[in-house]
Amino acid sequence: MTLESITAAASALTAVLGLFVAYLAYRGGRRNNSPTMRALAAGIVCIAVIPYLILYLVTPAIGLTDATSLLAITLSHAVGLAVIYWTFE
Amino acid sequence: MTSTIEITHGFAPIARAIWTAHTDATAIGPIVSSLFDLRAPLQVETDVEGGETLVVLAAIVTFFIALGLAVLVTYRFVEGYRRTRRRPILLLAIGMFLLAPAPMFIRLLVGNIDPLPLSIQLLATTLSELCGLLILLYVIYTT
Repeated sequence: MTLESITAAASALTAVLGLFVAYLAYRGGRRNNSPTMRALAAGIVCIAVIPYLILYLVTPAIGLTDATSLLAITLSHAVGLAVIYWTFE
Repeated sequence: MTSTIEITHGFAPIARAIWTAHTDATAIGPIVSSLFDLRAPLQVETDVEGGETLVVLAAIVTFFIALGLAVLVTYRFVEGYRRTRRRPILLLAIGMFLLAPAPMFIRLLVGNIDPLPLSIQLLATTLSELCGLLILLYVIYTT
């Protein structure tokens, strides 16, 4: 097993785990009516799930350039973090 | 200006090509290159054109905005812990640190200090994110 395949497996695991944690946070946020938990859910999706989809799905599917997919990933990070940041009171 | 380069290590060569084509070799050169080592080695042919420069610059600006926000968010969690002394908030702060700012700092530092193999850098950032998510999972599950 090469280092690349370990990294690819770890990235996929990160995306799946991110989706699961985000789901739990969203559910908890709805149950307790907590905007911070819901924002955390959205932020986790933007940080851990969307970049993976951009890199491994969208980029090969529609042939984005490296620069454009990089911009999309950093934008996703920034939006996710901004969403979390602005729900702090 | 159009030149064809072969990308063997993700974003780094494209960034380097753009920077050497459009700027003098300044201190920011290696910093910029390291930001682009985001993914596994891939053999593709890409044209580096003037329009791409703007996209790359926008990506660099967005990266630093995201880095600032990541540090701020982590700081707010730490502040929350110091105010309340509640252990779950401390764990949230640690999880958030490993999920967002830590991989960004790894990308920024590793590429500039010592040219480690890209695969090691990628594994380090991915593992950091994974640990962060596991801690967040633990916090959400137990509270």
